[in-house]
Amino acid sequence: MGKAVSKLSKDDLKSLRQATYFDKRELQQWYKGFIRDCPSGQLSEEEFSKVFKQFFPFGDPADYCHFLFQVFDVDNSKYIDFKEFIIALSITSRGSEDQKLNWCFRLYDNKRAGKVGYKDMLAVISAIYKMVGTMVALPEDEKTPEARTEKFFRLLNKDKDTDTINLQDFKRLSKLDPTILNALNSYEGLV
Amino acid sequence: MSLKENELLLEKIRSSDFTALDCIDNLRGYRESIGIQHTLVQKLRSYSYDELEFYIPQFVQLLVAFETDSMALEEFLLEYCSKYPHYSMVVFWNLQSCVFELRNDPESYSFQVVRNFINKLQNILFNNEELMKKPEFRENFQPAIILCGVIASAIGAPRFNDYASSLVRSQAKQQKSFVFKLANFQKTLTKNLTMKNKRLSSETATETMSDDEARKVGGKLSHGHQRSASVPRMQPKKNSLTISSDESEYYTSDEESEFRSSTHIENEMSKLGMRSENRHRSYIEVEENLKINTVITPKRKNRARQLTLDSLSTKYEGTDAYVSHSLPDLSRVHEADSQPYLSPAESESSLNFPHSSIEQGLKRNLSLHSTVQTPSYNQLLKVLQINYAKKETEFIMALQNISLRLSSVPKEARLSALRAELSIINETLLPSEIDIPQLLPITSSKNKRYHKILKLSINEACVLNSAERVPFLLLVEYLSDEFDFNPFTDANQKIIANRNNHEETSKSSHDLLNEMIEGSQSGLKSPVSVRASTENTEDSLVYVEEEETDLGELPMLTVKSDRSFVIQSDIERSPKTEQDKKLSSFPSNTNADTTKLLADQMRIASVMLQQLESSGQASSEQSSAIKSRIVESMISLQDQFDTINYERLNLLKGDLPDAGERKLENDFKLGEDWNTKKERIRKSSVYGHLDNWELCSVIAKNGDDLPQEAFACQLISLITSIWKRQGVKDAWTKRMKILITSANTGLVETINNAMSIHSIKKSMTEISINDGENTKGRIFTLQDYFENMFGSPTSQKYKRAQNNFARSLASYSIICYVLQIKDRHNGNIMLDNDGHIIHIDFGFLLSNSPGSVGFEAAPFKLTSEYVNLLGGNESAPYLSFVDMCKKCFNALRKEHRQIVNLVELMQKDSTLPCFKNGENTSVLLEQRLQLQLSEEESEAFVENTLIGRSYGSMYTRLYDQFQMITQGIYS
Repeated sequence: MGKAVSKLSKDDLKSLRQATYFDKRELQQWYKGFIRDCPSGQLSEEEFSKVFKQFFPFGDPADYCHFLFQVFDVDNSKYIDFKEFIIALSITSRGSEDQKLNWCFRLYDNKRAGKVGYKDMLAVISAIYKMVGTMVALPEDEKTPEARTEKFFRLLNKDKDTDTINLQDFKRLSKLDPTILNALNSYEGLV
Repeated sequence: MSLKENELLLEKIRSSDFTALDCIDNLRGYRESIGIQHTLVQKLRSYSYDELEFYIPQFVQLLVAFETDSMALEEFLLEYCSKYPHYSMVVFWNLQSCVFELRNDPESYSFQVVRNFINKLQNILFNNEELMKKPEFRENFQPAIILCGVIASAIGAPRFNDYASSLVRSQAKQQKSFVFKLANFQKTLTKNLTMKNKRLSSETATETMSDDEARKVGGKLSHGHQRSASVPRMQPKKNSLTISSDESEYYTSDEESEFRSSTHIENEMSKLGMRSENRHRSYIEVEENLKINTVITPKRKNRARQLTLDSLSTKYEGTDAYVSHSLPDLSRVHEADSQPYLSPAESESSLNFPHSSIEQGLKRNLSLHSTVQTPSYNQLLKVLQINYAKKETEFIMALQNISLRLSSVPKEARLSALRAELSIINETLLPSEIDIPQLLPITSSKNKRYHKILKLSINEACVLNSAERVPFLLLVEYLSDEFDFNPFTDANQKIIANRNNHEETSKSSHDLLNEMIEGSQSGLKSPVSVRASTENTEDSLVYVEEEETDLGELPMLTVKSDRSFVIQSDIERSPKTEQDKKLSSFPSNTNADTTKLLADQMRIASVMLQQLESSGQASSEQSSAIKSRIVESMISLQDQFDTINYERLNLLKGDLPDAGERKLENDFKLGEDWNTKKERIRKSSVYGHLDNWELCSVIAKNGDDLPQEAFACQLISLITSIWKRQGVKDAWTKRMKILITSANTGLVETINNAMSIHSIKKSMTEISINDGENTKGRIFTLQDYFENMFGSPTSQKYKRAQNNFARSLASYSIICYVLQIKDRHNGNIMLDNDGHIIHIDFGFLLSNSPGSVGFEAAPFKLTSEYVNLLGGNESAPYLSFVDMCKKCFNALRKEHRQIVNLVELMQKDSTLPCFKNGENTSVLLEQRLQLQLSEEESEAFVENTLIGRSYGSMYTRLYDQFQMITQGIYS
């Protein structure tokens, strides 16, 4: 991988067919699309962040992109290649709820400790708020990143100063807050 | 762009004084940012429908001339088009005009955009299948990573999905072509070549592997061919630069049918819009290009059809290409290898219930093609909208074609031919649930109902010019607020039933599978092609015959091809045919049944005339004798279509000498008040007793200058609205509407109860000479006319008219200066029954002027005659005129951005003559507004420079004299 050739090799295709929900033809098409916008076949964090700036002009997506980039960049190469991209897309667009939650957890658990404290959580949520700016109207108990993070711990009956959240809590949370499930599944069948 | 700037912009967008035009201007400015584009378009939705309809030319221009990755505007337009029938028609016609302008550059971004958009729009307008409904996600990597990002944030801030979701969904649809960005493409091409070279040297093994694959692909391709063997396939090789070998992989079977349907759409487009005398050759070229490009464009998925095809054609089961794979670690893994390919949208559910979902899909598709079972409200609504769109285009096309046909008929027979053509429209198309968008006056904007056209008033119609372009005046009888799109009214139920029956019968001749492949095509047939295809085989004969002479005559021939074919061969063999004898001896009594017959005779006669012309013997004695006999018989037929008032006709026809006739179009209503005329027609109409009967007069025009005229009218409307907003309440302009129906045809609203100054002077002078009262041949002045019309200068009536004159003169004076409207001879300036002055004909404005001579150097036209009419340059009306000019000018200075922005937007890449100065056009416009001056200084500027220089300008007098001498237009 990583070579900007015009189509995927047979081996690549085979392994990606195993690793994603996409078929051969879809993979080739997505590869073309990827290469068209990223001719080198490798996407740096800066380019990655540029895309988010295009979509979120009224906020600053840099912090969020920094977190998200690491979720994509599985091999820690500082670049996202097609394989990393298509696997992420496969999970987020066609994966099961469980798969999506597993994948999402890595955004917050960026130290790969298997658990997330209040501060880790707050950092990511602040980054999201910073990115979106004032584009969305929010209820009172979600107005600030702090309020939102506190609501989290409250829903889970945890103490924000002492407790941490693990993957299981995370999954429990998605059942407690219907807006989360809604958002998670909102692209069902789109891709 | 810093964040701070963007935040400021957001604040502006959210404020209530951010206008639709501000939106348009910012859409032009911030093309890089997808988020800003979407926010602006979201704001657009908050404006009134009327305002959004007014700016259709600007939206189209934004779409066409300003490249952006954002899909927001396109989505918005498509949404409005599917919601509002008028919107879709006007956008459609505007786009047709664009396609024509861009015909020479089919590889340009603009052409691609327009073509794609027209495809989608045609689907909305004419296609009953719900092809557009399914959300699409093309292989666009930007929205894809945003989607990932949004899912990742779902836990932390789920509500933010609301904002991102619409962006992702809309951007996902973007159809990026490999042709658009030629520069980019070349870059990647070179890169790929270098890559390949590298690969060749190091990885020979993999190379062979992929060659193997290519062979497989080739196999697949031929597979696809088998099924559609009857359809000749365009060779993609034609464009060697843009098609690389691996592209061919994407021509799988669904692509194939897809390709065919879009080619068909292109053909339809040609039938619908691009019919005109000298355009055919270039259009054929365009069409050629369209086809080529259709092949190049990456796939446009048609999932519904794809599903049916794949599940129906069993021979595809098991083919490698249609295998869908699942992740091995999933619990619900199953062997998918033998499963037919399912479109991605379906695959999620099919993982669970593969077979039932196929069956469902099959049923769904079957039901679409058989009788619609319990159709939803929206489906019924769609049937009605399609019914409207088809009939409307049919009607407008019929009107357009008349002009073209008339141009090949000798002048003296044109009126007869026009009446014949109009009676055919009355017979075949009317009354019908159609109207004329934008031209028929809107009665209520709330809970809008539509006008229904009853018939065209045949005896009132007349041909306007003697030039090769033949505009004609048309009186349209209609019922105001008569129909709507509510599927549950009795009338609409009938329409739906009719349409369904119609579709049923047209389907019976095909077998089911064919039907599915052609599904969208049958719905798309244009009126002409429907008619043509029901005609017998002689059609093709005529086509072949005609192709060599003049394609412009085709439509006429296809209608009555069997007969005209016979005639034309008769003529060729023995010119002294029986046909013209039959014509002249045709029975002279009329009733509704014979109208059609008469009209047919008329058409035959004109076909004969054309044949005569094109036979190359037009000058021989024999043929000119025949010609005059045919013409004679046509004229003798012309009055048999209806009862007719001969005196009136002669009155109108009587004084039409060639000189000075150029701009007499509007003068036909001379002498008869509009309301009187309306009442007269109402009395004679069979529909006249209906309460909501109405009459509207329009001119059907053709010529290249219509888009520019329409733009000028739009600018004048904009300026007038600025004056209103700025509180210059005395400002007055006549609102004129022009509906563009293709690149060079359109319908123009007539100005009722008004005459050109030229005609006023001419008729008054001539009448007085004839009466012997004016032995010296003195040319009458406007003051004479005013006294004649409104009585003594001291009377209230006269004073009111004088005041109206002053108000309108001030408004138009400032407009003429700011927009540099030229060619202001008296044929282009009218006076209405209330004393208002009205400027018409905007062939010259902003940067072009008639001829290369620097005539009309004055800022605007202010003759001493005008000043005398106002009572001299110290009178109260004159002073109020000067005062108004100042107010008008200053108000425009305050909102100059609006005008300048509009011109800036429209001048880009435009071929309109008024943008001859290119980017400088808007710069010069801004300079004329003298923004550097203070308000007081600007008032002095108006008084001293503008009025001072205009008043009795030597140039103005010179231009009027020039027109008098060369064109016979009275000065």
